[in-house]
Amino acid sequence: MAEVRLSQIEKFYGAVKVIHGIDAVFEDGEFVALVGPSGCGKSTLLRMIAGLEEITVGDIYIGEKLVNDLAPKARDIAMVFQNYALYPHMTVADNMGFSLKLSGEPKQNRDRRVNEVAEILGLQDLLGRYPRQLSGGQRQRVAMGRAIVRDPQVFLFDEPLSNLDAKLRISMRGEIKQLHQRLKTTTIFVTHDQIEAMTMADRIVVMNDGRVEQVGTPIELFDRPKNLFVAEFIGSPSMNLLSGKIEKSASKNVFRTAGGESLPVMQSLSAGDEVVYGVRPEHLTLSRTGVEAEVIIVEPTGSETQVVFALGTEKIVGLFRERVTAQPGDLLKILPDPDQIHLFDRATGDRL
Amino acid sequence: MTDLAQSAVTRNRRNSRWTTGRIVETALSYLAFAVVATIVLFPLTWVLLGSFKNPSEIFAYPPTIWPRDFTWTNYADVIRRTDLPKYLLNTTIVTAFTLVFTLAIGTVAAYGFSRWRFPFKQTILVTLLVLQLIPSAVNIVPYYVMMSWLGLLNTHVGLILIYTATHIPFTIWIMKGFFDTLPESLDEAAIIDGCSRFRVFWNIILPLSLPGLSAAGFLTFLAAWSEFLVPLVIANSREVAVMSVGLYNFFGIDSNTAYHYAFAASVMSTAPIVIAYLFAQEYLVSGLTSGSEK
Ligand SMILES: Nc1ncnc2c1ncn2[C@@H]1O[C@H](COP(=O)(O)OP(=O)(O)OP(=O)(O)O)[C@@H](O)[C@H]1O
Ligand SMILES: [Mg+2]
Repeated sequence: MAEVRLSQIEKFYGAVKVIHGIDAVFEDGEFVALVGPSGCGKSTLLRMIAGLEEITVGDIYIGEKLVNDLAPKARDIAMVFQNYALYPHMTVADNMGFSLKLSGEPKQNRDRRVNEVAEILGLQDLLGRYPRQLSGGQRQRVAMGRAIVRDPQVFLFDEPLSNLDAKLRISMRGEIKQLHQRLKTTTIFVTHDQIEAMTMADRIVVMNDGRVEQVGTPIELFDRPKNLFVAEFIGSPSMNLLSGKIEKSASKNVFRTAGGESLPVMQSLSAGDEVVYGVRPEHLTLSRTGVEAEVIIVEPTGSETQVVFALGTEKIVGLFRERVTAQPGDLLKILPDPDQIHLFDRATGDRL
Repeated sequence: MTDLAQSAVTRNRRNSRWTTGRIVETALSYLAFAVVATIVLFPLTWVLLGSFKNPSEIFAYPPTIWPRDFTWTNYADVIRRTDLPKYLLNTTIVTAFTLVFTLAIGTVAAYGFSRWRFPFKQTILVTLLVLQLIPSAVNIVPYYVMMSWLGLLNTHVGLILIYTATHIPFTIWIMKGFFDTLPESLDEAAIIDGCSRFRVFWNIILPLSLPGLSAAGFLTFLAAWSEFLVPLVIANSREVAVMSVGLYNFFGIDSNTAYHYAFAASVMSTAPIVIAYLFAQEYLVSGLTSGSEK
């Protein structure tokens, strides 16, 4: 096992720069999720760590070793691909044992190791089958088995769950997490699904447009997003963001939306500041002291009710644990929890 | 509706499609198939059956279809008294080397075209295709001049060089098309598992491309085995002559042709193609349509 250290990583495709100087440390034994919207460079970064993509600028260390010029097989990593990339003409056992075969491991050891891993993953009965004879979930497991067999320093996953249906994805989430707790191998897990990242990772690296926006534990990212991008990206349904101004009213700061509604703030800011006011849907409450908003849509899910309101000219979403019986067109009073307000500089997008 | 009722309805609908018009249409198309099949098969059948007849019976009047006295002597005589065995051996040598070189060079090149990006890639690919369109009759004089410079007239090496060069382009096209359908993550997974590039090609990509390989192999075999004009001009001496050129010698000027020998020799020369086809057939169909599947 080993830590992975990225130092000033840049990547150009021709003249196009897709990774803009990334510094990051993935600690020994840690499970880190790399999230970001499509095209932000997650796969590119992962493939540079794997050695499948050349590093234009910067250094990558695995353990103490600078691996920039090492071939993938010399980096002691294993990768699980989005489409699994199982060898169609080899049985499950041969797929899993292929790397050991290439490294010259005697057949006896190979079989023992493959059986060991098959047992962990519940694949014992499938060892003689070909990939085409497996279900999607089973293929996914074989792909992981192939990675685990090698007992590498680092696991690299590139959206391994995105080809599975919703239910299976959730159960595999748990399985991978358990597996990590058992093996304790440094794991870098790429996904564009922030819920996957939140539920599985020890720490999350949020990327956007080839840059790191924020690194932190899931709770840190959720409670204290560093900027507008992270605020919007993390959390589902995503944070309400309203543009407006800070005003002084009766010695207290309030936030005034473009439409003229005023909402409470705790932060001490000077009046006149142009800000973006952020509040998560679950931090709105129905309260007699709140501001009036018109109900547009009510979506009950059983355990919670999601309501979309019109607040002046803006839309705002609330998520309530109680049953809301309002009809579209009704007026309700909503109040953001003043302790759960996020304010961002309108110009830079940074947290205030 | 119950399953039974459902199936009764479908059966009814299917029956009602057999209207008179459809019956006539089907009958006519089968008649057309029969006519075409006869036109194609008649000469072949005539040759095949003729090869088992006595010389006198071949031109007997009224003609017989089935041999009256079924005999193997034509074959025995051709093998013992003519140079056909030598011609067939020459053809086998030339075809085998052509096949090996064409597939070896063609598949490796196709893998390169499929997996790497380099300048002028598209231009080169199109050029290869265009070259393929030039009929060998146009190239025959340049071939002759080149081979004469190289001192390779009347050698097998000369023929193998020309055949290999002319068959590589379509091999590249067929195999590239095939490799393109295999995801690159397979290569990458194998590289991470510890394969060298060549090993990826040999252990992963090639085994998965057997249908394409047999299609390209069969087409190359067919062309190399039966090419006539090039060997007639480049290598026509008795010692190196291939089957097509040798066979040509069986057909004398005017009425000097020994048709019973010519028939038997023709059958022996064509048989390998049929056998090769039967071997390749299993993969051939899927190979030629691979682009549309997957
Ligand atoms: N071979 C390439 N040549 C040129 N540009 C490329 C190449 N591969 C990727 N890119 C570009 O690099 C950027 C990052 O791509 P990358 O595949 O890393 O994104 P990603 O974050 O993994 O997205 P997704 O979630 O869709 O997989 C994209 O803008 C993409 O267009
Ligand atoms: Mg990706």
